[in-house]
Amino acid sequence: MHGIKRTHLSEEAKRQRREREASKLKQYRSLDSQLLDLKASNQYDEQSFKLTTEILTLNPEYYTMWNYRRDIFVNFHKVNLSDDQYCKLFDAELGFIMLRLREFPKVYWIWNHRLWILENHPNANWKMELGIVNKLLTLDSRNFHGWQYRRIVIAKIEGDAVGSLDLEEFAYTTEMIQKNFSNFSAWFHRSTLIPRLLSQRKDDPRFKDMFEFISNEVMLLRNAMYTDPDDQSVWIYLRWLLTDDTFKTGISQDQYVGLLKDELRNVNELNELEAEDNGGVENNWCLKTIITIQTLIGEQTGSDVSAEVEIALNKLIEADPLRKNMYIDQLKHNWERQVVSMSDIFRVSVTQQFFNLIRLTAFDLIDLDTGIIDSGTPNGNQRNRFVQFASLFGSSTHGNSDTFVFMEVSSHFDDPNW
Amino acid sequence: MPAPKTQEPILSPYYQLNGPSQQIKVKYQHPILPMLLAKGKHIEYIKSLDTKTEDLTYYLTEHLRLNGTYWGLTALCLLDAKDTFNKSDIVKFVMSCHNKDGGFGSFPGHDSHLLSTLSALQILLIYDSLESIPCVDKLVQFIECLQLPNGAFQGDRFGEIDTRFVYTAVQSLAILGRLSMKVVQGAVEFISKCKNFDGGYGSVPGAESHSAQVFTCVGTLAILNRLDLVDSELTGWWLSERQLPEGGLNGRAGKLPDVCYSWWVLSSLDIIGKLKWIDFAKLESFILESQDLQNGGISDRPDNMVDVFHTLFGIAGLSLMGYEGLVAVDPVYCLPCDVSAKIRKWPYTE
Repeated sequence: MHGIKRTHLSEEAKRQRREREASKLKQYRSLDSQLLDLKASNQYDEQSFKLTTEILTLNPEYYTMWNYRRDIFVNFHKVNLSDDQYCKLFDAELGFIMLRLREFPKVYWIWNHRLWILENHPNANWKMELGIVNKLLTLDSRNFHGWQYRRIVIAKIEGDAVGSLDLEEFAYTTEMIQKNFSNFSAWFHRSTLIPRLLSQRKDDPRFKDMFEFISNEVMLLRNAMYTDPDDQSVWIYLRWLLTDDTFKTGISQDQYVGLLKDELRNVNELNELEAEDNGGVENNWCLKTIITIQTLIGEQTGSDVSAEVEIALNKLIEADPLRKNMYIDQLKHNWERQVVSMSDIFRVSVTQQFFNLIRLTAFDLIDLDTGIIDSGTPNGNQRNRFVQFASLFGSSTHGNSDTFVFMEVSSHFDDPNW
Repeated sequence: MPAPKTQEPILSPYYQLNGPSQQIKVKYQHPILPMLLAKGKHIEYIKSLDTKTEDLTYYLTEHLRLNGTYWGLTALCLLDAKDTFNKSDIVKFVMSCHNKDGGFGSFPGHDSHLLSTLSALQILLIYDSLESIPCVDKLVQFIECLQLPNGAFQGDRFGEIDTRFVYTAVQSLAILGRLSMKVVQGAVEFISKCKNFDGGYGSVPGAESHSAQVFTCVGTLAILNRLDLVDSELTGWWLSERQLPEGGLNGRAGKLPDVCYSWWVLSSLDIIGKLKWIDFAKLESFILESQDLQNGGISDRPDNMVDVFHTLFGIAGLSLMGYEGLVAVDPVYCLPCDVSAKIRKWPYTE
C-alpha cells in the first residue's frame, strides 16, 4: 500500500464497513469462484469474457484473469470473428484498459496487457499509442511504466520502417525538461538518444559538431543549476556529460580539458554564491561536482589534484553528513593514491594533510560520534602508522580535536587485547 | 545519591529491555531516546492477517497471497518468532498453489508466475520442505523455459520482461540447486546490459535506474558469483544518494522516501560492501516512525496504512543495520542467514 493515510477504525466503524461491504464481498467471491471454474474447464466464450470484464473492473491486479481474458481472445474471438470484428474488439479493449490505467497507473499487469493487445492487434496503430503515452506522461511525468512503455512504442513505430525517431524524441525531452528540469526520467531518456544523434544525424546542425553540442548542453544545465542548485537530476546529468566516453573521446583533449576547466570555474562560482546566500554554507552538489571535475582534470593532465579533492571531501564530511562514511572512504582512497610510500609522508609539513592522516587511520578503529573504540583489532600497518605518528607528534598539538582522537587511540597501545 | 554504575553506556534502551548482549557495540548516539521496534505488535499484526476473512481486501489481495505469506513468514523469522505460523498449514497452502505446469500460482487456481514460484520456494526452504515438490524436474523446466534468447526471463508465458524476473528465476534455481551454465551466462549477459551511466540498473536495457532493479541485478550477480561486473564505487554512490534529509530512502532521483527502499537500497549497498554509506541512525528513525504502534505493522511512510510488504522490508532493513535482537538477514536472498546458508552456491564444484 502506498501513500494511503493511516486510520484506526473503532470496532463499531469496522462493523459498519463490513456491513457495507458484505454484499460486494459476496458478489466478488461468487464471481471469482464462477470464473475459476470456467477457467479450469477451458471455457472460452462470450459469457466468460464478460465475467472477466466484471472482475477486472473490481480488481485490476488479478493477473490470472488478465491471462484468462487473453486466452479467450485467442481461443474464441480470433476463431469466430471476422478480421474486422476482431479489430473492433481489440480497439474496444484498448478503451477498457485505458479506463483501468487512468485509475491505476502503476499496476504492472495493466500495462502488460495493453502491450499484449497491441502486439496481437491485427492492425495496431502505434502512432496513436504514442499520443496516448504523451497524455499519460502529462498526468504523471515521472511514471516509470509510462517511460518504459514509451520506449517500446517508439521502437515499434521505428520498426514500421518509419526510420529513427531520435530527433522527435530529443525534442520531446527538451520540452519535458523545459516544463520541469527536475524530471530525471526526461534527462535519462535524453542521454540514451544523444550518442546516436551525434553519430547518425550530422546532417542536423545541432549534432554536426560535438564540441558545440556539449557546450550548448552545458549552458542549458547552467540555467537549471542556478535556479535550483540542490536538484540532483541536473547534477547527475552533468556528470554523464562530463564523464561519458562519447565526449571524452569524441572531442580533442584540449577541448575536453578546456570544457572541464570552464565548468569547474562555473561550479566554483555558483558554490561561492550559494555560500554567500547561506551564511557561509557551501553547496553539496557543487562540492561533489568539483571533485568529479578535478579528478577528470587530473586524469587528463597528469597533474596532482589530490589536495583539491581532499579539501572538498573534508567539507562534504561536514556539509553532507548522511553520506559521511562514503566521503571518509573516498578520503582514504585519495590518500592512498597520494601517498605512495611512508617516506612521502614525512616530506610534507605538519598541516591539514597530516591531521587527515591521523583522522583516517583512526576512522578505521573508532567511532568519532561516540569516541568509543571498536572491538576490531588493528592490523600491523595501522599499528605502525600510529607508532610513527606518536613519535612525530609528541605533545605539540594538545587541545586539537584530532589529537584528542589520536591520543584516545594511542592510549590503547598497551592494551593486551590489541 | 546512588553510586554511578559501571561504565556501560546508558544509551541503549535495547540493553535495558533485552539484557546484556555478547558484545556491546555502540554504533551511534541518539540526541533523544530512540523509538523502539514494537516486536510484539508486529508479530500480532502478521498473525492477524489471515483472520480478516470478513474484509473485502482479504479477497482482493488473493493474487498476492503466496508472496504475502513469504513476506509475513520471513518477517516473523527475523523477529525470532518463526513458530507463530503453523508449519504444516503453510506448507499445505503452498502446495495447494502448485500447478500442473510445474510452477506456482499465488493462490489455488491462479496461474503460475515466476514471482509466486520464488515465494513458494523460499517458504519451503525456510521450512526444510522442498521435498514436498513432487517433480522438481518439471519445475526446473517451467523456469528454464521462461528464459529468452537474449538471456532475459519473462515472468510467465505472456512475455513481460523485467530484471525482476531474472532475479526470481535465478534465486529459484539456486534454491533448487539447479543453476546451469546456460541460464547463468544468459542472465549475466542480460543484467550487464541493464547497467546505466549513473551506476544504477533498470528493468530492461535502456530503462532508467531504479533502486529495486538495482537490488534484483546486483542480487542476481551476487548469486552467480559475478560481483566483479559491478562498479561498486559508482553504484554505491548512486545508492547512497537515495537517502533524503528525513532519513528515508527513495527509489529514484527526486522521488519520495519509502520504507521498502530500506531493503532495496541497503541490501544492495551491503552486497557491494558499502553498507555504511548512508546514515543508519536517520534511516532507523524513519523506519521506526513508520510503525503503527497501536495495531502493529509498518507503512511506506510515517502515518500511512501498514501492510505486510513494508513490515518485512522495514524489519529486514533494521536487521541489516544490526538492530539489536533481530535475526540476521542475508542481503542477497532476503532470507534469514541460517536459511540461505542451506543454498548450494554457484559455481557448483562437482
